[in-house]
Amino acid sequence: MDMISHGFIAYALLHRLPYSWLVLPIAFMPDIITFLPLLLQGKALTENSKREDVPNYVVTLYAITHSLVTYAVVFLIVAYFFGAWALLLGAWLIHILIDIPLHEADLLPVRFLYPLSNVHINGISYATPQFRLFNYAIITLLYIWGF
Amino acid sequence: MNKILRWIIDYRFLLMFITTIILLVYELIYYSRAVVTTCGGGV
Repeated sequence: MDMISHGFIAYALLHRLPYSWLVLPIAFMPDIITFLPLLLQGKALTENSKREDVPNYVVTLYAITHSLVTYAVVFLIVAYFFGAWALLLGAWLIHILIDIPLHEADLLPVRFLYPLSNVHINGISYATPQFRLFNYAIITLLYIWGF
Repeated sequence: MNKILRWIIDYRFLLMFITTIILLVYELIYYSRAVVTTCGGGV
């Protein structure tokens, strides 16, 4: 899913937490870490990108940042040292859970148990006009519910 | 300046809601154009 939607969904669900504005950078973080090196080279992935357009290090970074294993390790470390602040990491969990069914296996599949397993779901692409419309309709409903 | 920042922070949920509506309208227009293009392509 696109980065903006991740931020909006996570904020709608977690806006009642203290320091909830931190939810936004945390929700963006997995994609920023993955794609920043590419963006710094002046490249970007579009909905027409193919697997061969994606460098291997991006695939690895994507797997690491979109893994429930990585999330669990970071969550436990943050919870141990900072206690309830770890709840803000819920934005990252929401990001991963949303991405699992919304990526096709032939571009950037979400290997959500990486590095333990390469298991992934061949989901539907989020980058179609139909899905994007549906997506923003759901986000709008989330905000109406959040008031 | 501080007042504006304070206002943005206080009303951030409302601002994000309004932004969501704007994005929804944008996607609606984008979707409509995609449908028109698809239908028009066959004519």
